[in-house]
Amino acid sequence: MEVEKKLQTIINEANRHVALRPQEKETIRANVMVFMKVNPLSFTPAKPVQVSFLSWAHMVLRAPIVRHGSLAVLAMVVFSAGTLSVAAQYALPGDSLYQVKVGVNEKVLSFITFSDERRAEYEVHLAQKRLEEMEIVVAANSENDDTASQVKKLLDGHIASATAHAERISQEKQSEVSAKIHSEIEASLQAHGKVLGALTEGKGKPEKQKQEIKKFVSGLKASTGQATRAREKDEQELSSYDSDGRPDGVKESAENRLEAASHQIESFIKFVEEGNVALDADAAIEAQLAIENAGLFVEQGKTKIATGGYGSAFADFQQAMRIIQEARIHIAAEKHFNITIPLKGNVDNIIN
Amino acid sequence: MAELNEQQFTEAYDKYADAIFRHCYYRVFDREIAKDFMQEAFCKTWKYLSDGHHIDNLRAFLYRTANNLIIDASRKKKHMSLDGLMEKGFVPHSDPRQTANDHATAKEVMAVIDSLDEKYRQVMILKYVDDLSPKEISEVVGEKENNVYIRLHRGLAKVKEIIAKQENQKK
Repeated sequence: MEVEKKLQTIINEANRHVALRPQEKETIRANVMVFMKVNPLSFTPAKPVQVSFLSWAHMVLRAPIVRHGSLAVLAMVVFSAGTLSVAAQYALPGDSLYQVKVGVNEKVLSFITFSDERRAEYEVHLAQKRLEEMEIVVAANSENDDTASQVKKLLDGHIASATAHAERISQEKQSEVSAKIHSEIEASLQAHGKVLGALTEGKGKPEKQKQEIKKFVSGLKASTGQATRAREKDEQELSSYDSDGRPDGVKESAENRLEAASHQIESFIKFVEEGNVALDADAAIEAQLAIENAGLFVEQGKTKIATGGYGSAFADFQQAMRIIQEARIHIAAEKHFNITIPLKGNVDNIIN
Repeated sequence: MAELNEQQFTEAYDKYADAIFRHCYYRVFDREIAKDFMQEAFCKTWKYLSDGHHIDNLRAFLYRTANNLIIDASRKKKHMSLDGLMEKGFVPHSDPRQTANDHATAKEVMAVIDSLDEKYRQVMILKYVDDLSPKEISEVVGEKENNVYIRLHRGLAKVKEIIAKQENQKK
């Protein structure tokens, strides 16, 4: 077909010019290798590693990204031998290697992202990790007097960093990106706060530790409030574009968010239906409620798109995604820790 | 595929990095974001392996991972329009000796891809930029091969319209 040939011809021509610069390719190669070192294979490979340590170290250290980051940090990773930093990746709060994990491994990985957006997302990811770690130690009753304050300090650091990146993004008039970041922080803090609340009521927990965890959860609520306010500010900014006559960029953002919300709902349905988790009655009800409520917000948003309310539709799709995100965290925690998280709090998300 | 070791994975990076970057670039039209996605696709794939999982077709897996990353990120920063790209000093190329004609060619393909709906853009890029077969595309996007054929057919029809319009404008 002539059209097909023409398209292929112009793409082949253009492909010659859409390429990584050699230095870019090399930098990313070094970054990937750093990642590989801190995440080793769980099985013994058939062949031993052929790349010599010195050539690897040379490659990492001469990469431009290193010059902008902390050589001391990377040197620690390089020279502390894979053994130390590899073992650290499984460390939990209170373990001796926990500081290597959060102070070295994760810092190294934070250097290898390029954009504010990805850095913010990585910090949100780390914040979620901190919360999951906290849940594990609380469930195992292995926290000590300092655990809660140690984790809270790290968590606050990740949230502050994510928020700072989001603020820079917002100043570049990309409110939809910062709104997304704040929404993810909000949903994560809210959901994990409820999980920790349920875990705190576990039997055999000393009263002092219960109070520490309650204080931690109370801190989470405050952070959740901040994330909510930041997200609402960004969404209001977007909604203002609907009446300002600047709908173009917001329309596409709303449509992209609709696609993301729909995909997330489908993914959650598969998660529930394909038996990855065997749900008890309460969890099954929560999952069903979440799917229905998220679906209602999606439909509401679609109606708004049809009438030009793109900013407001964006907010509805975000709400749908938060509902699913929270449900997923709850159900995974209920299954993992054998707890029940009261459904009552979740009805706040039900659309009126 | 036998279990991969570090060297084999590094060799796979050398082999597929440019292609995965190009794919990401045509999807998002932002060089820095495309680099992030490409890097993350390799890291996530490695993580999958390091968690003890098995991958039959590494190339397809990398594309699928990149595709999922792009979709999950739900391009909040809208993929750049050509006008937006030109304002930013659009430079997709790596060769400073690029001629005006080369630039025009890149602009042509951008205009075509830019005009497609995302669902067509995705499969058209996988076919015509990445040279994947419909079967491989179906593995990447997670849809039936038949649906992929339909989307390719409709995408091509749309491209025909765009190219015809461009040629009319040139006259």
